Amino acid sequence: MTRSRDVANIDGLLTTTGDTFYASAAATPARLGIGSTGQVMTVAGGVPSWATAAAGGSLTLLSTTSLSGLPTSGPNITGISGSYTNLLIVIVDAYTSGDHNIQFGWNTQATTYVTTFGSNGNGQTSSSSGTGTLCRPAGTSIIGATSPYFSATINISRYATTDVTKPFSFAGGFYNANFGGVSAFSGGGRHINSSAITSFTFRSVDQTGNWNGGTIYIYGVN
Amino acid sequence: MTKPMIAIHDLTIDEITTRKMNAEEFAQYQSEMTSLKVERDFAATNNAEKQAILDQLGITAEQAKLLLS
Repeated sequence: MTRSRDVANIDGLLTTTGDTFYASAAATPARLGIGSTGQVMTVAGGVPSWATAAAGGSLTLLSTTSLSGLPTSGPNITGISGSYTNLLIVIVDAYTSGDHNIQFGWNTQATTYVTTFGSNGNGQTSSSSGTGTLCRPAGTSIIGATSPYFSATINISRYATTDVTKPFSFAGGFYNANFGGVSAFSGGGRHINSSAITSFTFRSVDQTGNWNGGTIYIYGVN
Repeated sequence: MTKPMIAIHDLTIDEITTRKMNAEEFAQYQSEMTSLKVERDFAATNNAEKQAILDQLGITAEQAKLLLS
C-alpha cells in the first residue's frame, strides 16, 4: 500500500463532520461516525466506539420532617424509597425541654451492633447489641440541659439490598449546658437483617413531651 | 396507663400522622421504660456507693480522679 492510496482511503472514509479515522484491524482503515451529544469515546471489542457517559454521583432529597410539636416517642419515618445505593440522614438542631437522651435506628426489629465514642466531659464509650436495639450515642447520655440542639449525620451503606449486614456510621454534636458547651460523638456499627431498610426512627429515650424544634432530612445517595 | 402519642411520617404519601401507640408499640414502649428504670436505678445506686466511699475517704470526686490519673 502506497502513501497516496492511504491518503485516498482517509479521504474516502471521512464523509461526515465529526468522523474519526481508526484501524479496525492491522493496516485496515475504518470510519467511526460521531456519537451523540454527551457521549464519550470508549473501547469495546478492542476498537473505539461512542457510549453514553456513566452517571456521576447524585444526592436526592427524599424527605423533610419538621419535629416541632411532634411527640418525642418518634417520629417514625416510613416508606423510604429503595431506589438508591446509600442513605444519608441529617438531623439538624433537634431540641426539647428537660432531660432527654437521644436514640435513632431503622427497621427496629433487627439485630444491630453499635459502638459509640462520645465526648461530653467524661469521655464516654458505649456499645450495644440485640434485637430491636436503637443506637444510643454515649455522648448524648445525661444531657440534663434545656434545648440541647442535637445535630447528626448518619450514613447507611447498601440499605436497600439483601445483604445480611448493612454497615452504618454516624457523627454529631449537641449543646450540653452541664458540660459547659458543645459535646460530640461518633460511632458506627452493623445492622444485621437481609431485608431492605425502609424506615427510620428518631426519638428520646424517655419518650415524654414533644419536640420543640429541629428537622430531619433524608437523602438517597447514588 | 394512658398510651403515649407517636408520630408517623409516611413518605409514600408524605403525610405525618400523630396517634396513640397501638398495642404492639405500647408493649414495646413499656418494655423499654422498664429497662430504662432498671438502668437508672443501677446508676443511682452506683453513684450513691461511690459517694459513700468518697465521704469515707474525705475527698472529692475530682481529687479521686487526680489520684487515679
